[in-house]
Amino acid sequence: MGFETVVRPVVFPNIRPAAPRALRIEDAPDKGIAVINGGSNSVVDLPFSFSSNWSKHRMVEVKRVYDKVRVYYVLPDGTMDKSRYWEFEVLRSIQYLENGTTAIGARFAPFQDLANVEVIDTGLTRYNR
Amino acid sequence: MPAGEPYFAWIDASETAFGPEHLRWDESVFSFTCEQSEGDPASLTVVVRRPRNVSGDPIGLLGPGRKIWAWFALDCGGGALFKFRGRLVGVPTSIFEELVTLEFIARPFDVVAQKQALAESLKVLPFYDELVIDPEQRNDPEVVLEGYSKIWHYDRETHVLTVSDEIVGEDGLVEFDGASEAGKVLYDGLGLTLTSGPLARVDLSAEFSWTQQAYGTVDLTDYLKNNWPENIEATQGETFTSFTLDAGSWPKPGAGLGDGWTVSEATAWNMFDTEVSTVTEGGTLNVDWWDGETVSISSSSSASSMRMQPPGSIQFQPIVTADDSQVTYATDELGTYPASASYNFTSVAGVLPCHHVQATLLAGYTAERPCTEQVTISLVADVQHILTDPEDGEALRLDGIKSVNLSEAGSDGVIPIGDPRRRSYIATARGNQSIEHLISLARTHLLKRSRVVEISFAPKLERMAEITLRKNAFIIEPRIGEATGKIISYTLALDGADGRINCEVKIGCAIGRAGSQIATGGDPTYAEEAYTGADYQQFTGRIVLFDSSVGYAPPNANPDDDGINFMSVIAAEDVIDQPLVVENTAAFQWGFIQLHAYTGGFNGMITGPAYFLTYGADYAQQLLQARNQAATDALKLCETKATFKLKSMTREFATPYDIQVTDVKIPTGYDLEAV
Repeated sequence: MGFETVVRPVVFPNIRPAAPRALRIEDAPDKGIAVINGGSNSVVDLPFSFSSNWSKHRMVEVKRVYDKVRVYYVLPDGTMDKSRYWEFEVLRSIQYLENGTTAIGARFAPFQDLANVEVIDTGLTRYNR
Repeated sequence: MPAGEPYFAWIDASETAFGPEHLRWDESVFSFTCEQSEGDPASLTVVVRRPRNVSGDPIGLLGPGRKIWAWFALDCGGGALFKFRGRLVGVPTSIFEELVTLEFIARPFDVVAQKQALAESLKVLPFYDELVIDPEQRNDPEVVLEGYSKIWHYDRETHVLTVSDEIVGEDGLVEFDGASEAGKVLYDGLGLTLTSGPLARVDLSAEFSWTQQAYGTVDLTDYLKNNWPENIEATQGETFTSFTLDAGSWPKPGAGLGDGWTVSEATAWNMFDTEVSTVTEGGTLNVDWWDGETVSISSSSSASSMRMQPPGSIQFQPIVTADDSQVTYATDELGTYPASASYNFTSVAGVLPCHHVQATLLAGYTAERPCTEQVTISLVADVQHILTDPEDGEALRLDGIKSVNLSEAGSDGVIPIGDPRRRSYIATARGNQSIEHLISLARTHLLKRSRVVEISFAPKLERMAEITLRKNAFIIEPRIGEATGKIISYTLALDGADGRINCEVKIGCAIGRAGSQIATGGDPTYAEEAYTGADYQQFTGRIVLFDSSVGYAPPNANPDDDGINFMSVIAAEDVIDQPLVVENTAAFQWGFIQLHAYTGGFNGMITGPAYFLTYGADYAQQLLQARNQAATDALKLCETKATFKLKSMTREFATPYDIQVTDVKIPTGYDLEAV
């Protein structure tokens, strides 16, 4: 008869460390996917423009003041034949109307005195109407 | 002193050494029985005359001041004494009778402390492996013997607690040769029994688990560049091309890249400056004619262009949004004349730039991967069969052996697996020790269960003083032949009725076939063994001895995982689980947008040579908006999407290992086959 009841090494199941988690062996193919996307874009406008213009300004004579002179014929020997002559109008001043509104004008020097030139009349005025 | 004389002396607890002074008769012994079985302390039952004082009155055996310790000795003849020291336990029976029965036990008071101290000394690999013991249970001394074929032994005199092997006793052999006078046993009392069939095989399975831990970075830049589809019209070296993906959408540091992966470092910039610049030119020419007429001519142009138009971009033809001329007339005295004229032309071309991204991507990982190695061992005992069909032999299955987390420091501060980055534990030197522990577990069961034959016999009294449970006994007896076994119990008794002393010894004999295993060097897998030594490389066909009774083949590491070796340099190719796939590449987008954005017009609005003249400027503006919207809509349908998958850093792995072992050689204590 023994006095001890438990003397042999008794190994109980609970001497082992706790069981690890149930294994999930296979990796999920649709998990953990790295994605690179995003961003944006749009059409970049590249405008081009060209412009040109021109304008023309025209002046119309509206008034002139002139002298009338007669130029006699001079023979080759230097003598003057007053029976033969040419008459000219020598412009002394002129007035323009630009674009029908703005008046601008100019004055001219009198005709130079010459032997065969005779001023017949001066200060004559003619209007362009 | 005559043989057979019993002595009984009440003693103090401190009288641990037997001396001549203890050869006395404090009580009149009528009969006694001293016995001890394997694993138990010895006990003594003594029947004595009821103690009385000098006046003849009974003495209370359990009274205060009474001694409870006693030395018991029996003269075995020839000066040999069978001794027992014990303490009185419990209330004596038959206390009112003339004969009182006293029960003593040879168990020390400090049995718990002795067990604990002894258990600590036995915590030695491979017989004890704390890795498969719950930390809460490691202080249980009974657990320590799990891997030993040993059992507790209480010395009946000194009360020193030791462990004794169940097959081979530590204190020698007591021989009963059957020839000498002292070597003979009595004819009566001989018995042989078979306790059960031997355990033929132990199937053991164990799981060793750890968390594979590692962190680091892997440069994915070259992998992504080399595998990014090229835009055939926009190849500009190693760049990422797309009509949607730009530098701003490149992954940023900290962004997730998969299971256990994040972006560690990343850079990205667009190679081409798509900013629009505008060049404006113009001039005026005034002419004063001799007649006062003046003419003024002026022109200007403005042209916008992209500073660096990326190659492969989609260009849209200009849409004319303005194309008109006008002449004004004046009238003066000379009549009507054209005084001025103007011409304007505007068109809007378009470019959908192809992004060329120069980028880098360094992926960072933090691995926390539960790994398990499932070790199975089938250990077969080389024992004699007591059944006609060896297949009927009994097999034991040991399941549920699990380790602690091997990547966590143990009680000694050491991480069992060494480097937590390892892919295998069982193939390490420490892992091999765990294998040897499992073998020791299985081997222990096989050894204990091999002690099938129990032989009891009655030796002569003079031999009883030699008998302890730390010895083996060898017996030759004509009826049983020869037998060697561990002494598992003994009884020494005096029957007061007839005065006869009865001796009985029982031995347990293993029925193995003896022999021993030999180691095999195996074939090295790397270099000649002499070059590197036996511990440097892996071998095939190698057998390492646990001891002379059993050997095993150390397994080579063969982890069933995803192949990542965290202990070496990791390249991108090592961690790619699913390769890079780019949906809607730049080349595809180029064609797609061309096809979907422009269908002879934009969003149903036609274009053509006369559209401006036909429909005018408003239409042109709407057409311009439609063009851009059509391109945007088309882009939404073909957004570039690059996907790849990196190997999981939290995935779990399990690798089976079937350890090859030799048979377990077991001593032949008794040859049943010769009976």
